Amino acid sequence: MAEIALDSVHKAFGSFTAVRPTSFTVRDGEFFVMLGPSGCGKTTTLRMMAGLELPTSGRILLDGEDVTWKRAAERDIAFVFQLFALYPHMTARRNINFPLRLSGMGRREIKERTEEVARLLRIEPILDRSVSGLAAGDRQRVALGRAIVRRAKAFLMDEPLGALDAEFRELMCEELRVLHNRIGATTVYVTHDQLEAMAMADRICVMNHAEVLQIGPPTEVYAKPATRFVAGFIGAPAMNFLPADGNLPAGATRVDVRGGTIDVPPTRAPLPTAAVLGARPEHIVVGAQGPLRGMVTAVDYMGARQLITVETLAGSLKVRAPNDVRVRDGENVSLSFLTDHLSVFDAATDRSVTIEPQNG
Amino acid sequence: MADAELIGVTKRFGETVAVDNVSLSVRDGEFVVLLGPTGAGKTTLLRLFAGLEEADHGTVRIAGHDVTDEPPAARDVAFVFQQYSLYPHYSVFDNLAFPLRAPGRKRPESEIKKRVTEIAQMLRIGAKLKNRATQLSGGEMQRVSIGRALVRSPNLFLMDEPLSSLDAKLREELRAELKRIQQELGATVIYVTHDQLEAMGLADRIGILSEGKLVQLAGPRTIYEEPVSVTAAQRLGNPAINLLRPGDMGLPDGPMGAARAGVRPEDVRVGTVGGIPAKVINIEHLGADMVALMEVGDQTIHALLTTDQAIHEGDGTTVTVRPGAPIWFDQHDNRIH
Repeated sequence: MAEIALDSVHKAFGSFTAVRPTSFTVRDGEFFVMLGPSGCGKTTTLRMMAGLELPTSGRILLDGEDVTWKRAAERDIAFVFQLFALYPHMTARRNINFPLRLSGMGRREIKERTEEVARLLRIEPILDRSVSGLAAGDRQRVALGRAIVRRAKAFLMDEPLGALDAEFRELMCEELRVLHNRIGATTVYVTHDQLEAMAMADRICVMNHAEVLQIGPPTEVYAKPATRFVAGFIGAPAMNFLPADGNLPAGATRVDVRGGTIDVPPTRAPLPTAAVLGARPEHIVVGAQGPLRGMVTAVDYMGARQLITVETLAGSLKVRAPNDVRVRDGENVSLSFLTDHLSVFDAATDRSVTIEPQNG
Repeated sequence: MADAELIGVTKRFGETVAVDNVSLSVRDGEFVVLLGPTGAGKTTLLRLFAGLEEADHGTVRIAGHDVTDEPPAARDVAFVFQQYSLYPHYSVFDNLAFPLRAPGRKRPESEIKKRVTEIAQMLRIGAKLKNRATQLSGGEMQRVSIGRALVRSPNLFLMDEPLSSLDAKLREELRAELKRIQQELGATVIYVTHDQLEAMGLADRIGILSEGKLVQLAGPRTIYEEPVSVTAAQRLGNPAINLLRPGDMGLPDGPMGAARAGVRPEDVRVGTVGGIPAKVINIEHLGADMVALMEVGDQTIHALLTTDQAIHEGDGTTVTVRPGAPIWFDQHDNRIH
């Protein structure tokens, strides 16, 4: 059981605000990912949870107990720095139980705990082999084993996969998540990689400029972004943004962009000045009919899918289509939009008027 | 611009065969991407074209001439490295102008100014020409280093993972620009990467390299749909192709000699009536799609699904493979037609 709650936590370094007053709760057993560009405050927030930084004001509660002033070592939280550095001259077993030997645990218990972790990771047969001779995937599992052998209440991880190349990172994402599904330990994971966040999180917390912009499950953050920043940061290729006319009352169901009028979900707030229509590439359909016309300027094949770039009066739009849709460069096409999936943002505040107004 | 060709080229480093009897012909104005894991020989191939490595066997031809024994300078190629190497004390303008001021190639200053301005505009760094190189962001620095290759009109551009040090958003943006510029200039480019999305986004043809050998050279769609071997099949597609045994998961036995069946994750159907029982052990969200990792008997497979499918970790479900989807391989991992 480990629930981590932040209550109005705020951190300043001199006159620089690293984290504005922030409250949220990481639930017991949850895989919680903090996502944002570098300098957004996500690592500082994590370090405060770990006890490696003290908040300027506010409280941190671990299972209801105020640990704000407790040192890192007293919090029973495992902070995973270098997930993938192993001692090459040691066996898998000695790498895994290194933290236990350091803590002076008894021999028998060390043996039991190590073998339990090995079973969990399915690496029992290689326990007594030297790690330098292991396949890369097995080495990573050994490293994971070392991280979890302490049975901490929670794991805090700061870009643990950052140093790996893309292909391997994807493998390890899945490996980490599958392990989490098995042991269910509360995990807070910091990354700037939206794909990693989408792939692993139960909930994503998106930060920018020291502020939490949205917390929610990956599908929700993706489908109903609270701000234009969240909409643009999550999803690759990024959401298309089309400037649209403002001066619309709450409840409007269509917006005017250059070259056409697009049906949108009813807006929940008035748009006094200007609006921005947000449409993800998979929510635009290339066809013979539709409210916006354009010319195909690029077709990128992406395996299972393809990416079609269409030049329109409202700008250059990316459309994601199944790979059996055949269009060519230079072809004139019409675009239609999947109304229910569109977002409308207030150009003045960048906040979505498509979703329920949120507090904070 | 020009065509470029390797004919039966082999390069050894001691016991290691880095490039193993490779023949590769790149057409004038073509964008060829060499794709493979670390150590496949991609960079060595590029360096053989550049003259930075000497071939042990075989011939290197550029613009119709045998350049096998020519030094790098005589080959008229431009090389862009992964790490941008700018002169930090120079302005952006002077960095870009550098190749045009080199001894033996020196052009009049008025021509240099025209060319540098043109390229800077193309790369959208026109406003930064007076800045020092050190005042630029990472993305801008890499633009300058690409620009420095573009200012000359060499026979051939050789690029070694030029975008890999940039973050994801920037990489995507520069990738699109690079393709646009290449088309505008009609440039011949040989480009090395281990990022399959980059390869598919940029290439006219992709060369799949593995252990020093050129496994397949073809358009992205051809490699994806008609890979010549298991190696080529595994190189494109995310998540990677599932490799199953004939007869598994309701698959037919396949053609004579079939030893393995490759099934793309988008061809795995989940929750179909009469399918094989499966257990969902993980769900990964990719945004528009999601990936389900499932246990089926003693195997695990990936399925690429749309997000409107209601499926969760721990669910029991069923799977089938879309008829006609399997790609069959023989016992040597070569495709059976």
